[in-house]
Amino acid sequence: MILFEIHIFRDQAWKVDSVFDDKELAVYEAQRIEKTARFSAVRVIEEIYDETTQRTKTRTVYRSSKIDKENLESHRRRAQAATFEPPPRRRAAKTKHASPTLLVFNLIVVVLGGFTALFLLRYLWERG
Amino acid sequence: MTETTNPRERRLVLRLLGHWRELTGDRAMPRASDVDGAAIPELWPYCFMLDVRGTEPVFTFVGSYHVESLGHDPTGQPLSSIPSETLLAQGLSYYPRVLARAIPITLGGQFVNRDGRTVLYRSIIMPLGEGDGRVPALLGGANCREVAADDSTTLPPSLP
Repeated sequence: MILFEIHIFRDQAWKVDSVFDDKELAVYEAQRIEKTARFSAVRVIEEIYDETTQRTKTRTVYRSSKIDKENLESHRRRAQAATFEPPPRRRAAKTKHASPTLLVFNLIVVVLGGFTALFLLRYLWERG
Repeated sequence: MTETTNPRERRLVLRLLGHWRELTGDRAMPRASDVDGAAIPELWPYCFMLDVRGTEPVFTFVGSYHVESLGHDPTGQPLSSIPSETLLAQGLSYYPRVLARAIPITLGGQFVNRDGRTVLYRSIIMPLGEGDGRVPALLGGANCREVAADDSTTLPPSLP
């Protein structure tokens, strides 16, 4: 016997919503549920019960979810972006950073220059 | 209920299931008191309701289509009072599975009626209750068509 179960993803878990013996009806109903946007995911599971082995084989015959769609859209966007050459990046102007040694040297030069100027002014003042 | 031109949507079971979902809202299932035949006048003749709180299901409503087919109204009578070679009995044959799982189930099949004619049918049974895990009542619907002598179809693909 073959049955088709519609599963809905609700409260962080898959739950059986309804059971059909007709795949077309089950998939159609699953798509109708999906359109209501009440659940984040919907799938249809085919269950084949083998009476001789008394085992049930299952496989997913339909699956659609918002997550899948978002992933698909994301892949599509990435693929589309990869087909275009990215615009050349403008080189950012290099900012020159003065080294500490240079700063100390400049400071010493300024201080010594200042003292020299003071001595020179004092010398001239005393002579005059 | 929204009308549609999609032939699949016209199928009784899908339309009835859609109405059940509307009544359900955010709950697990609608209450029996939520069901109003006036809201689905085109489907109601094919519908039936049962009280399943007792040892045996008892009809609380049977649509005119089934009443005409049976020749009497079995409302108030147990399910066992219905002959097995009728659409109503065949369409309700899997009701224990609906009670056990508390979810809608739809199945189709075929049987030979009292006139010796092969009949293709499809039915749906849906649980009704307070959403506490118990199912005190059932809502269902079923329709059928006789297989013509030259009809090679073995399953009901497009019942009205």
